[in-house]
Amino acid sequence: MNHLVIASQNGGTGRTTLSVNLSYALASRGRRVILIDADPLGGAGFSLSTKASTAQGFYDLALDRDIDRVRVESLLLGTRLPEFKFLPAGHAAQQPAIMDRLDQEPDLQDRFRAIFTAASDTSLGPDVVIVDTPAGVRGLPYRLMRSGSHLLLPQLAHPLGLRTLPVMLRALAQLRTGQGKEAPMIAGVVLTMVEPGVPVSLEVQREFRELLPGHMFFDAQIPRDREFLQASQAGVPIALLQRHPSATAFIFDQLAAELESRLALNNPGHENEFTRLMD
Amino acid sequence: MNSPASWIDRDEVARLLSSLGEPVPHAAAQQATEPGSLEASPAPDGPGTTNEPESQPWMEPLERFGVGALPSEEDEDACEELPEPPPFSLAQSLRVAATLTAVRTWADEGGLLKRRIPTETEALDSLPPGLEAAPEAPQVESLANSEDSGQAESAPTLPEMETPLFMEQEAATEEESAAPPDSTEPDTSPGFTFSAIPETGPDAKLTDRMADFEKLVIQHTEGTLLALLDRDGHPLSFPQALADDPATNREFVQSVTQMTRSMRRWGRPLGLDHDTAMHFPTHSEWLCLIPILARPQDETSWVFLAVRVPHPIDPFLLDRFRSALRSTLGGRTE
Repeated sequence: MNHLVIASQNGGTGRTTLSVNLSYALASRGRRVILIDADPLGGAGFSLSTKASTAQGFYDLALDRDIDRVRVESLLLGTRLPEFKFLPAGHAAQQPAIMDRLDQEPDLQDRFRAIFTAASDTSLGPDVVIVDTPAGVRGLPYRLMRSGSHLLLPQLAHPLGLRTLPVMLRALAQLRTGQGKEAPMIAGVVLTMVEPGVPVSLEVQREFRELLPGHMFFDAQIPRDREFLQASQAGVPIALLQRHPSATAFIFDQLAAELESRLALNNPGHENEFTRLMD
Repeated sequence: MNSPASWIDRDEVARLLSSLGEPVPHAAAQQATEPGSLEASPAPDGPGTTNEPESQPWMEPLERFGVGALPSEEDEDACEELPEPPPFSLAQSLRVAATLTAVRTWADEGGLLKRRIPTETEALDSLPPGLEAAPEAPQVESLANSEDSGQAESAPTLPEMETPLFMEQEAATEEESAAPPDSTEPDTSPGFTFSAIPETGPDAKLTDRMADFEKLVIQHTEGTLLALLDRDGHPLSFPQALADDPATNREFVQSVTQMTRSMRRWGRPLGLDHDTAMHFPTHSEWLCLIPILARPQDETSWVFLAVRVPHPIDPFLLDRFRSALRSTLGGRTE
């Protein structure tokens, strides 16, 4: 089971943008994807539809101790891609008192894990369950990280992002200490809000790559681009913003392809099946 | 320079990476370095720690060349005793101060070149006979801050650039770079080594492989092959494209010359990979010197591919590139 939790120590790294667009890219490549909006703010839902922002969802499920596949399946929202379904944050996420109480539940991460597992068992049979999380590495985000099988770590290509890198590393080390081999694996680090023409951004990218081993980084990195604003305004993944998607939209295709490789989603024995262009 | 990473406790980063079972990049483990020294901090305990060169394949040659500490007085003396390299005519058109400033800035910004950089005076003193520095010395900051990213405007002008770069030296340096008698014993040491290059036949010279190298550079790093240089920085060969359009690569070629000049001064390469790399903020590109040990067990047979690669450089891609290079040269893969 691939339960990919997207987590970062900073706000504003583009986690929700990454979650939505990566999910869409994977689904458009034929992968079956369930995106879970585990950010109580409901950012992913607000990025996609008004319906998603008012529907029951993840945190409503987390209130129950008995979590089953049927209930999870009933709350999934379909998208225009049959391979892509969405579980919104839910009503409970909008109730601070309920969320405070939920945060005190000692078995919360077990419930989270149960929801992820139930989502994997739904009729869609997802190749990957992607989980968008709130910012930070303590409390709720940390419990979500603990519940995943893999972590995707967007890192802000900004001095603040670099300087807070140890915060994330400490959280990862704590996960490893607490869970040992059961700890989620690091799928990789993706640099976000990259500004290719800005020296400070370039410097930060260079220093990130000096500090962390090269294999941790995805080749794809997400630029700061006004198209994301336009896509957010329109409530669509960036690939649907234009009839002929822009170059920025294809970055998520590259990221999806890399992720498929890292999660071993490619079906062995099928790599060489191809259709000739002619004849 | 107050770089973003200067606020970070690199020892802690190295320790945390180790606790995660991840290899520790060399740069992440350098904070304990004494001022002016490349000596790495003590390796933190834990699996995956690669603070020690032998566990990081591409750092291995650093150890061989003794990079890891400042040159001792004996080293300095040995360097002084090195035969003066022959003058190379290209240098007559170099603006030495500009590239020196670039190297120094690079070091200040956290490059791995944390050894002592020759001052301009020292470098000028060491120039081959007939070499004179250009009268004015453009500052590298002006390149970095320039709104215009065109190299032609930001790079110092080189009136002799119409002559294909390195052309005049090629014949001479091929002979000079001939390594001592090669060994028939296969190299058993780890690192970046190849089987012996045949002395005769169509594969006798590395320079014959330039087209292959160029393809590999493009395929694996999306970069540009600038030149093949011997261990003293003398150019052995360069792709036809460079000869066709020397101005395009002017700044990079200048820097290759400067970097290899430093190698010659110290009598050994400065380092490998990121260690022998220079970032050009104006162009969002890196210049890397990729080492090739042409003859196993013969440390004098180092040659370098000068490669221009897009920024940010990805060590993973470079790794794949080196593997492909090994394969192409018919060498063993450790």
